[in-house]
Amino acid sequence: MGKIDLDFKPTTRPDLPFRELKDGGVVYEYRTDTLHSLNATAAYIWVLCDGHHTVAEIITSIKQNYNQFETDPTSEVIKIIKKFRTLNLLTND
Amino acid sequence: MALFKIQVGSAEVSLECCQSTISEITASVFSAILTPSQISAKIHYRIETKNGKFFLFRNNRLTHRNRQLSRIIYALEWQIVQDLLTKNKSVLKFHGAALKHLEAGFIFLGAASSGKTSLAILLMRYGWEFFSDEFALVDCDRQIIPCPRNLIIKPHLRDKINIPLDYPIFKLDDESDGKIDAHYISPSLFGTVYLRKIPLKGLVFLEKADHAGFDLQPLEHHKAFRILTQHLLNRNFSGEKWLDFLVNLLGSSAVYRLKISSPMDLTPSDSRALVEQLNQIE
Repeated sequence: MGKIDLDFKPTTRPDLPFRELKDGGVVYEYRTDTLHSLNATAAYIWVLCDGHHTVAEIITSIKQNYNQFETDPTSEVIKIIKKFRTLNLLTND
Repeated sequence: MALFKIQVGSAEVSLECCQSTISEITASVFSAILTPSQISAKIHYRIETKNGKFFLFRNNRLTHRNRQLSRIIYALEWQIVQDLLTKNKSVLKFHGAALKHLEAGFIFLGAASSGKTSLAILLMRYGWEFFSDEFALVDCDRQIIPCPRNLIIKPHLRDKINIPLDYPIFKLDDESDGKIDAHYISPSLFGTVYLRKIPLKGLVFLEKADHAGFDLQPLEHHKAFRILTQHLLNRNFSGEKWLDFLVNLLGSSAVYRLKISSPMDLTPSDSRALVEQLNQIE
């Protein structure tokens, strides 16, 4: 399992349906019948966790598209991606 | 023997009973939509009496027998509810109350004892029309389907509303209080029951407050979604259809959280203020 650093390319599990909402999104896990609610930032990151974007690119995208972060969003983005992994929502690549 | 029918959405049941049981049954079982009929439905109930005992049949098969008519009516009502819910297949079913204001439908969702029934009674007193309590049904076109089951009036509510003296008492299993006495009261005693479909406009999530008064605030959709799924009774749609239903439902509705301790204990001015705020939801 890769270390989550700036070069890491996170990939969400393809078997987890994601739906975008007005202010975030939801991910549903059939196997455990678990629903994960994502706020707007987490939902944005989820979409970019496609195996093509590095963590650094995700951070850059957040900086460009989100005004809500007054400070550097790096630690917040990494925290959210780590949370995805803890919840077993990422592939093990 | 008298024959009645009850129709909710695409489901219909019929009920046959003798003269001695009619008044108690019509007072307690879907009173607002229990109508005389000439023909039996595919799901047919029959209540017979013999040697001081009551017998309940579903499609000619005996399901219950008891010396107390109230026990039979309790079983009958619950079976009919299950039939009506089961037979409305492509419909989302929520644990909640549904009411109408002007031309828009609202669903009030909340845990047991969160105040759904009290709020429904309060709103009807202010002119809102009743669709259902306990079970709110929404079809694929986001239309609320009327399901006017009788209101279950538990002891804490009994002293706050006028119940006709001759209404039967039912023994219910209550999550927190064990066995309780309850009445099944027709919603039409409190106001108007609306019997056509209407588009859903608002979802209101009830939360128990630990202080008097109320607080109505918009609720973020990603938080609402989780609560909405907790109150969804059926997820037996093919694939991810129910997810899409819910996303669609949230996306097209005003979504609010109502913190309230007890709707019936609101002061008159708080009651008016609450209804006013609900009326203004866009």
